[in-house]
This record gives sequence, structure tokens and C-alpha cells, in this order.
Amino acid sequence: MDEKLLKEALHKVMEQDVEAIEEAMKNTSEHVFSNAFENEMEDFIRMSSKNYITIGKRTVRKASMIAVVAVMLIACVGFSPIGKTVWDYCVTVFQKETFGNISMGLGRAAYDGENVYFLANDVVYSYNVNSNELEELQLQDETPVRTSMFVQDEFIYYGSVGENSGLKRISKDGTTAEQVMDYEKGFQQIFIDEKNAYILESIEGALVVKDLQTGKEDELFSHVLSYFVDEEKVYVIARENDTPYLFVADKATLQFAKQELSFTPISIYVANEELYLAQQGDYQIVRINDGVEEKLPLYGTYYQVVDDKMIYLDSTTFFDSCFDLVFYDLKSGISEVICENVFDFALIDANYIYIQCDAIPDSKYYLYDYNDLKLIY
Amino acid sequence: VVLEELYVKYRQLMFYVANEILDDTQLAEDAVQEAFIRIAKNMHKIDIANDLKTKAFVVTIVHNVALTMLKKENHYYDFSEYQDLIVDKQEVEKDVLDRLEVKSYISAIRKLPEKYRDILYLHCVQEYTISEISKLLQLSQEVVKKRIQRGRKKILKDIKKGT
Repeated sequence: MDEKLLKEALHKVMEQDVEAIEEAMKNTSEHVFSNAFENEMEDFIRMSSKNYITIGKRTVRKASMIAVVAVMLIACVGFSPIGKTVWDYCVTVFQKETFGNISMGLGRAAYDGENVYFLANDVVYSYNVNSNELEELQLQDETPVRTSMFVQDEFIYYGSVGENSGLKRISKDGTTAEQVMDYEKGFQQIFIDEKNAYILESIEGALVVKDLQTGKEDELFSHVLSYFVDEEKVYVIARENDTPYLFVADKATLQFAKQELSFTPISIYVANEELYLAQQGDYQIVRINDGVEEKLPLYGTYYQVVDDKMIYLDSTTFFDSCFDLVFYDLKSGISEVICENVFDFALIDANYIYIQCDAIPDSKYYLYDYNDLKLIY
Repeated sequence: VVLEELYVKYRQLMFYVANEILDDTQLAEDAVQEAFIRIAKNMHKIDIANDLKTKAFVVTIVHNVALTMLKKENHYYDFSEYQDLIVDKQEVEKDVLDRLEVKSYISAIRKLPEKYRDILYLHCVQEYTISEISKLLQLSQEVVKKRIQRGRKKILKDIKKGT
């Protein structure tokens, strides 16, 4: 059979069918959806699309960046209390699979040189890499959904969404738990440094910078797709009149220079002054160096770069919530599959790759050495 | 953002397709909801910029969801599921047909039962794997595989008849 002809014919038939449906629709009035439907869909979209978009960003914690930590948060604020199908789905997929067990998704793992911390639904697991001991720190607050985390000094910080949306922390010995910052509007991504919190709000993608001392807030952009902050700069990808732009500014001045992009990205990662953006749709990674776009032969839903090496979840291998985890040498162009059926991974301290294979509840966890890609544990 | 865009853009179309099958606005809304849930799990494969392809995809999914709901509502059991599993031993000639025009294919596809056509469309045009379709339409992989095989054979037979 001529596959090309078959494909073309199927495409044509479907095109004709859709046209016929649209033609028939012209004679009918627009359906007014019920309130229950609208509410449930709104909740579902808010939750699932944020989750989806933020797959491409996670906590990066290099040894040299002790005080500068990225926290990725899913926006799922304001669930309606009822809602059969959608709510059930949210609970089973996004709560259970993403939050209901040890998961490194969306930056839910952090490392302080001794322990790897994993944020689960109502506990923080503290895993000692030297002794292989696992401890549980019970979280006391009533927040139903917790998101990403990072460790700084004697505290483990974690984001929470829902009625008490904000940033909280628990001491490493589990004795103290407190709210650090309230944020009632809800957010999908937050980055904290010594001075500011950079908050990507759930609603309309507004990027707000909040002074942690004074509490003063300034809205930098709306319609933000994603952003990245490093030691010196803030990088924002946002739409203006439906056109995607990259905005870059020094953190000190926040005076942004803008560059129009030829594609719509959904995530951004910056390493060695080079920008890596995954484009919407196929997740092809585009590198931008000095304003010049270069498409790399990589398709990654989530990626990190350290020392000219990228590790990423290969979007072309997606099956049953899992991907191949691939190592790619940006200099030589050599790539290698580190592990198949990877649900999630965390690059810890640029030395270890913690890999979660298979979706929860059947997950298995492995620790790899990032430098030689060998299995440690 | 993408899912929201899809929702705003296509919910009326999806509702129309579902309501045409179910003739019940409440059930049609449920079908739209269920279809969106399945679509959300496959967002990584949707190219929002390709309007026609996306539209055809959402229509295919909601169409299948609505048909499944209709079967359940009517306590109707589709015995053809079993027929799909029966191996069709008749060999079909292949090579001779390769040069035929797309028109013959369109005509043959038009005669195909929708359940074959939709799966073939997802597999050949949208490039979904058998396991992905199995999850998307909540059918066993075996059924999906057989429908693809039988769909292809039916198309070939029809084309052969016309020559």
C-alpha cells in the first residue's frame, strides 16, 4: 500500500469532514455550557496546563549557587470542592501520580551535600547519600497540594498552593514549620534570591517581582510563558500582541532589552550565557547565542545543562508517562541514552542524577554519577 | 496556555460533534470533558499552529468518546470488537495497487466504518503509536492493531474492486 497516498487521503477525508461539521454548525446557535461544566473545565485547565508547561523547568542547584535557587510551582489554586470527572482525574493523575509519592517532578528534590530531600504529599523524605538512611519529616500544615522545594541553611523550603498559597519552610530536624510568604493569587513558578521573589502568577501569566523585605510588588510582564533567573540576569519569554519575545535584564536594574523570536517557546534554561528554549509543539530545543537562534537536533520536555553537557527527557520517546533520559554532549554532538522509561529525574549538585523510572506507583529509583553516567545505587 | 487555547477554540465544535451523536446536552458536555482529559494527556503531540490537524484530532477524539458513551447508554454491545480479533486470512495483493491515485483511496476511506477510519487517521496522519491510541480511545492494543490491519485491508479490497 502506498503509505503516502493513504496518509494524504485520510487527511483529505478528515479535512472534508471537519469542514462539513463546521458548515452544519453555522445553522445552530452556540451552546451555553452549564456552570458546573465551566467550573470544572476551568479548574482542570488551570491545573493540567500549568503542570504541563512547567515540565520544562525545575530546580537547579549548583554548588556555586547556594543562595540562588529556583523553585518551580504548579498553579492549582482554587479547586472547586466538587466536580466528578475532572476532579477525579486531577486527584488520580496530578495528585497521586505527581504528588502522592516521592517525586522529583518540578523540582521536588534538593541536595545539601549530605542529604537528598524529596517532597512528598505530607512528608519530606530525607535520604542520606553516605549512610543510605531514609528519614521522614512530617509536614504539619493543612495545605492540600505542595510543590517544589529547595534547601538553604537549616531549612527546607517548599511551595504550597490552594487556600494557603505561599512559600513555607520546615527545619531539617522537622521541629519547626512556618509560612515564609503568603501569595493568595496563586502562582505557577517562583524564584527566590536574597532580595526578591520572582513570581509567575497563575492568572494571565503575570510576572511579578516582590521585594522580600518591604513586600512591595511590581508587575514586570503579562502573558509570560516562562522565565529563568541566574546570578546576574532575568530572562523572560512572553507574548506581546501574540508575538513571542525574549526579554533580558540585569537583576539590579530590571531594564529589559527585547528580541523577537521566530518561534513560540514554552520553557527556558540558561547556562554559560547560552539560552536553551524548547519550542511549543514538538519541544525542539533552540539554542540562542548572542541573539542568533540555532535549532539543535534534540526534543526535550525537560532539560538541564552543566559543563557543555545536556541531559533531557526525550519527548519523541514518550510512552506511558515516561521518556528516555538522554545525555548529549553539546560540543561533540554525541548523545547517549542513560536510561529508558524515565518518569522524572533530578540533577543534584551537578554530581548526581537521581532517576525515577516508571510512573508511580511502580516507580524505581536510581542514583547515577553525572560525570561518568555510571549507576551508583 | 495551549490547553486553554484549545478549549476556547474548539469546545463548541466538540460539543456539536458529541451532541449530534448523543442528542443530549448533558451527556455531550460530559463527552467534551472526557475528550479534553484525554487530549490533555497528549498535549506534547499537538501542534497548535497546525489548525486543521488539531481540529481533526479533537473531532476524532470527541467523536470516539461520544460513540463509546452512546454504546453504554444504550446498553449496546459492539460485537465487531470480537470480529476485529478474528484473523482475516485472505491475502491481499499489494504491489499492483501502489500507483493508484489518491482519489481511489479517498473513496475507499469514505466507505470504511468510522471506527477503522478514526484509528487509521490517528495512526497514519497524527502518527500515534498503537499503545498511544489504545490509551487515547481506551481500547486494548490488540483491538487497535487489528482495526488498523482490517482498515488497511478493507481499503485495499475496495480499491482493487474499483480497478
